[in-house]
Amino acid sequence: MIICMIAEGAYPYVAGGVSSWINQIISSFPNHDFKVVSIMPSQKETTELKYTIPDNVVKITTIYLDDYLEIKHRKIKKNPRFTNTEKKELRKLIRISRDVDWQFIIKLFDKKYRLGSCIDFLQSKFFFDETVEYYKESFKREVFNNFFWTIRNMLLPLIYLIQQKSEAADLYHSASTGYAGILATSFAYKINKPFLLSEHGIYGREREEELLKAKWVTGIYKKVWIDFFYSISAAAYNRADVITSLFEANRDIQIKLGVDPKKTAITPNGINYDNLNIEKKPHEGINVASILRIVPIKDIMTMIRAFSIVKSRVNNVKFYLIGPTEEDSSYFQQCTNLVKLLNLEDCIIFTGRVNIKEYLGIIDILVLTSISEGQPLVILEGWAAKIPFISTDVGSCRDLLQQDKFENECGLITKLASPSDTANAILKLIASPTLRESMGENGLKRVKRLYNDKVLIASYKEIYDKLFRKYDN
Amino acid sequence: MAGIGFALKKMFQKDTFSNRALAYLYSSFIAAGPWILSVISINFLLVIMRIINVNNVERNLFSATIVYSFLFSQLLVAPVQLIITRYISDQLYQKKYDMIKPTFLGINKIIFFLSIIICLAFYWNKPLPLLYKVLSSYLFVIISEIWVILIFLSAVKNYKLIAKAYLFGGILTVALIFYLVENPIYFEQLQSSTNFLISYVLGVTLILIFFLFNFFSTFYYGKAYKYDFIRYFGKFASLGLIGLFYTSGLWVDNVILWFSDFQVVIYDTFIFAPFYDNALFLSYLTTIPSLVLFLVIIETEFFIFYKHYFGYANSAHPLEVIEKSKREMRESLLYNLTYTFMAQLLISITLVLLANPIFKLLQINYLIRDIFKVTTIGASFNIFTFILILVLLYFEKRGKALSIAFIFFVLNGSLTYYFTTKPIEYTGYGFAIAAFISFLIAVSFLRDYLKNINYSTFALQPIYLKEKSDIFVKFALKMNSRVSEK
Repeated sequence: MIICMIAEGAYPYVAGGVSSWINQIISSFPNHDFKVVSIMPSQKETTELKYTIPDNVVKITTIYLDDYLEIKHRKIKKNPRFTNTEKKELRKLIRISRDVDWQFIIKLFDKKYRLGSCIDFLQSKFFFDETVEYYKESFKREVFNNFFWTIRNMLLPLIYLIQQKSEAADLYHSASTGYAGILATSFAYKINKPFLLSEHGIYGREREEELLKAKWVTGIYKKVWIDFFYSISAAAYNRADVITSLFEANRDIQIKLGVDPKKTAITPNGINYDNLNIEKKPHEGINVASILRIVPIKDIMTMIRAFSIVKSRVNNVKFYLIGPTEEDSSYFQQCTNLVKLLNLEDCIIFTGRVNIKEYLGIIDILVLTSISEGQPLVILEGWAAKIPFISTDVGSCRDLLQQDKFENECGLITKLASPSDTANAILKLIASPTLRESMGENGLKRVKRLYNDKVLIASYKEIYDKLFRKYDN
Repeated sequence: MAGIGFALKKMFQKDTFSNRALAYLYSSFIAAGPWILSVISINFLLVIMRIINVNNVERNLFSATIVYSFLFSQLLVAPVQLIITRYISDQLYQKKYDMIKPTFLGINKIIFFLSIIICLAFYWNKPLPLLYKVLSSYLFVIISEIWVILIFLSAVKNYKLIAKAYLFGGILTVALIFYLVENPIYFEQLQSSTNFLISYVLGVTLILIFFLFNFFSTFYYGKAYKYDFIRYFGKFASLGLIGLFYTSGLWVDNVILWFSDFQVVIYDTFIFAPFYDNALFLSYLTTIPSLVLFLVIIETEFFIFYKHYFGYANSAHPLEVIEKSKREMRESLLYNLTYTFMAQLLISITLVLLANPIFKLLQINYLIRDIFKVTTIGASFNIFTFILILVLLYFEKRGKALSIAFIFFVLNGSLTYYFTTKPIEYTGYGFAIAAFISFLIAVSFLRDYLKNINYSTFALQPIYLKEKSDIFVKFALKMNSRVSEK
């Protein structure tokens, strides 16, 4: 069977949790062929492969969201004639309302001979008049230019995506909603094949958080953009045959956002723990580490401040920040500046991209201070090496770390953006070797029980097979 | 976490409307100057020739030499006129003053060589004395250069200088003629017309020297990128075609009549139709008032509303404000166009009604008078078509402007040809009807545009800006690199 795996801003060009997960899934199903569709924001992005591509990947298609720049400006079809139903649906699309009939819209835009390209549509008289209408209804006091361009900019990549030529496959598997989700939705409608949606975070929520903080979009447009992302997420929720999430809390959100509970399934991350069962190497002092990409969402500033507090109390301690630094070089610059400012240059080490196996043996404590996480793979990996974990209370971290029916605590939970809280947790673990040891043991037990790759692969095998059968008839 | 997030950001930039629209206007009006001047000066010199009893053949030869020089040099420069206007106004807008001089040198070189080639081809096997050929060729080259430099001078709007140059050039020519009538230079053949031509050529040369002096004292610096403007031939090809078709449209009826029963051939060299040509020249003189009126109105009133509208549309304003300024601009434009048009029509009709006594007074041939009556009505519609083309160019509707120019060219050609098969009373009807139809089409284009101007302004702007790399861009780069290697 051919499975089309669709992701945005991830595999195979950007390293991270989702990308590793995709790589893991693909490698675990050698008897299926995979087509990878990678959506990237712009052609300026590098297309250096961050993973060794498994042999069963038969095709990688990269779609840049600004690819519409390459569309030839043919003569604009200014006024395609629409039927009343079409007009009604297009009006809903322009208003990005939640009840857009996406199947209808996707089929409509597929008729390129009628509508032309996304640019034709966005330059059409119909689009202009309807946008003015929408403006007069609800945005009268806003600057018209900004309004018009916002709507246009919003719809441009969207229509561009749904007009993409379908990748033939037996199943579409998308790693998120959003642009990847809408592309998978479009393929699935056009080819009429199953669509499996695996959400790691909740896309709409993440965009909402980002937008509320973003400076480039202001005032009323924050809401417009947020509605837009929720709306395109709804398209995928609606079309997908099965929707997985990593943990219960995310499934609840999905259901709140309108997902039919019958379609949901929880598929936690899983790792090959035998691979990471590394002998502890004797070493002097305590080594605290964090395995992460140096990017703002990980809130490394808080971590460095926490390290500074720890260092002021305990002497014999070293901090390792393990992971690629080049993704956001200006943020990395800020981090190293802070390290200098706090005089921590001798005890904080940025390793850059390395093989973590070389470090797991000497790490005593692992830390995360992220402001957003799903179900961090690094926690699972740390446990495989029996390392206790300290993490902020985000995503499913609390569930992961706290005591349950089977195991005691496997780590400590801290408050967000609180250097002192994180520092106290580190200090607590430094002070008690037995606590470290027991938490590490508990972690390993938990990984073996819940988060091992055999469970993960078995659940996806079941879902795949079920979907193949469903569409066979 | 997956997600492109907001690498999206603001992907697009607003287009800025500049004052460049006015540039088209100035350039076109200043280009009308030489014509008015040539019509007046030729007629003046012909009167003197008649007074001193120069024979008919030499008189015709002299006037044909000058008309041909003007006509064909204008046709040569017409395709580049609007493009160069656009190019230098863009450069001035970006404050790239050092691009002006090199551009002038570049375009000048090209026009210089082309005009020499045209002269060689035209005069090569013609039965005229060599000296006369050399003088005529020289005249042609000089007038071509004047057309070119006027494009540049119109950008700086130095009307006073231009007027002064014409005045001194005219004075020199007249003074020389008075001198040479008393002390003619001896030539074996064509003594009078050659003497007149020498005077004329020297006067025109003085005009060019004035222009050159003024130009180089204004734009004395800048060396590189002589041929950068060639890029615009791809980007703004429509401007070139507008110039080409409109100017060809202006002349196609004359050329067709040159080969009709009106034909007069001089020295196997110049073919023309003096009855028709003169009638048409006089008709065009009647349109000067509306041109001037329109220039004044545009500068004083309409342009303010125009700037308001595009200013509001491109900056932070709600639609209501934009709509209001749109109404103001539209009303101002329609009112002023109607007003100018009525004034022009009044002048034309009055002249047509008074043609009989006036022509009798001036002792001009009755055939010219009868043609004049028809072509004057045509000319007033034609000048309005021209004005509407300019208005469409303000709004960057180059495609529409080009269609009008093209339609006028085709209609004038075909209708004029059709009417040559009709009795002589119908002479000029082809031109008049073609002008009238083109005028109606131009009106409907402008009306449609104004109706949908918001749509055009907001939705039809390119969604993204990307420099095309076409053959002209490559050519410009190649020419420029050759220059810099030297």
